[in-house]
Amino acid sequence: MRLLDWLVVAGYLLWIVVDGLRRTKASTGVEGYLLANRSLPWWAVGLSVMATQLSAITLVGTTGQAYADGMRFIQFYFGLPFAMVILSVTLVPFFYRSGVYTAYEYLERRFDVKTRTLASFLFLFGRSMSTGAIISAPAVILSIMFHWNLTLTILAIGGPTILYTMLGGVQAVTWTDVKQMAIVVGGLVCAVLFLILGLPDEVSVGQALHVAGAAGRMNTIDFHFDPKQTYTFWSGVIGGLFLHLSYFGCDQSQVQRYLTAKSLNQARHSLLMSAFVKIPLQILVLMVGVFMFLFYVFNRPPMLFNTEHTAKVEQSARAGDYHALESDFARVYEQRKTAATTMATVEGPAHETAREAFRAATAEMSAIRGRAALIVKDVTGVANYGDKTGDTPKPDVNYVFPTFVTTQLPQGLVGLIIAAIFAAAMSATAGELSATATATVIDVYKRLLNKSESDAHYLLFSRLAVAFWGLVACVVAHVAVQLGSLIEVVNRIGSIFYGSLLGVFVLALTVRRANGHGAFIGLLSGILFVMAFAYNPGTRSVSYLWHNPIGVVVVMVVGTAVSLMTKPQPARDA
Amino acid sequence: MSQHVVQADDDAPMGRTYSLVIACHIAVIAILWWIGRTFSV
Repeated sequence: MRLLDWLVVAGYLLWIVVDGLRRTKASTGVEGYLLANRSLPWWAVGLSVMATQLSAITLVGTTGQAYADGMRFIQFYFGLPFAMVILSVTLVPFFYRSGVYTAYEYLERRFDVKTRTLASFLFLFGRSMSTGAIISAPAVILSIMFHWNLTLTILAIGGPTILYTMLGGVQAVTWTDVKQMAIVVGGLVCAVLFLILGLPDEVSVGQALHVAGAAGRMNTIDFHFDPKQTYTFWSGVIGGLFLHLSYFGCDQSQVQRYLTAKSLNQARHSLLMSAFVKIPLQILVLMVGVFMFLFYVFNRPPMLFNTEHTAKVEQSARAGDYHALESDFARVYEQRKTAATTMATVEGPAHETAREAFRAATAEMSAIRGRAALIVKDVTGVANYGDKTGDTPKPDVNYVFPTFVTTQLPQGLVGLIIAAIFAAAMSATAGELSATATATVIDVYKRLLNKSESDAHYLLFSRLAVAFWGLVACVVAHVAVQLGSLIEVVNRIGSIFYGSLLGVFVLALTVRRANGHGAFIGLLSGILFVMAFAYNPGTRSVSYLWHNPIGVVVVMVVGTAVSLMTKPQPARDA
Repeated sequence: MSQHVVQADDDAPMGRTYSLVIACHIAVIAILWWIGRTFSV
């Protein structure tokens, strides 16, 4: 990073913190602090909804995913617009009209306090872990790329976010989200334009996309029904529908966003904004990856992108083997570049011959990368170097975009993209901190521990809760680096809750006879069943997207059965 | 606990908006399918 890049990043951080702190005056009471007095316009809430979902790992990981595996990831979002419509018709009016602060508060009104408390604790456990991962993932990558101190990088992301969220509340979160989304989208558009302008003069955008297609990077839709595949049309539409219903309907980090809207229909519009914009935004993210692939077709890529591990190999006894592979890689790369240029500029049989040569060279480069990754695995002991995403070693995928940014982009644009990575991490973190603080204050402190304090007392406690969860996130982010795969396990457990949580809300809305015992036992049964399903050797290969519909079904069946076997619940105003 | 005051546009019909969301989504899927077919051949 050069001086101009540092100035851009520093300017961004200063702008966001000052803007966030300006909102402090508007957050005078608990409702103002946690729900912005239900005063925000739909477009700001809608951008905040998307900013909360889009973390830095989406920005860095999804571009790398498209580089390695193409556009098929887009199918993950095919259920989202349907989910938004269903939620706008069902859960959003219930939440909004009942005046709740948290989604789980509604569960007490419909069932009982134990169901609410269990749901809220599941949310707090899952989110406190995942917020650590949201901070740690970009911090690790940035610290490796720029040789920054890891602890300072975590604090550079977490510190300002805690400060403006703690003082400015949900108003600060929402209005900084709006600006952070602008920076993220601006950075992505600049990256795509730079990549398109960087194509060779003789290769048009259309011809380049045909080259990407020959390497499988333009495979957008796969209609095969295979539960083991995560990115197919059917897993996206059905599994994705349930996942997005759970995320936007039962996760406080999203429910809190649309409860801040100034009316019910504005809350609905904020969700429907994602239905319109989310897929085009993801296409933009994925196109950055596809055009990076094309960039590295016409410009030599590194054999492996993660330089931290290759440096260790250089100092090991396997350095000779590794250098031999690098020579092979350079030779095959030149063959591929020639084939790609021919393919893009020539028609007829020569085009077909060049296409086959391009595909063969791409496969050979992938094989060489695989052998290089195995050397790294032997030297460093990093187990997942044996795994691949598409044709790229798995640990390399998250380093493709940062490597491209730091080695190819001009001064100033590097700073903008780094600011965009910070913006994505901070906006997702701020939403989570605000939501975990709300659940802590409303579902735990005020409901279970201290019911009759003043508004000022709960406001102070809310601010302390933001600071507490912010510090927890920073500590988890730091520990996550050492724990490695354990944090993945924790996040996987978090994804196991989702379908079952949705199941409780579906039970509440659709089964009139359902009672508190049924909901509580149904929720526990759903979680245990999905956990057993996810870790059973016979079924563990089924994509996690299918865990959500399974969780819903188990909660519905068990919850209804237990409700029928137990005493009916007295009528409540749900 | 606050009780939400129902505002004027709270119950404005949203059916057309929902139909537009679904229609646009189907169109986007169709375009993506076309892009995949066109550039992968």
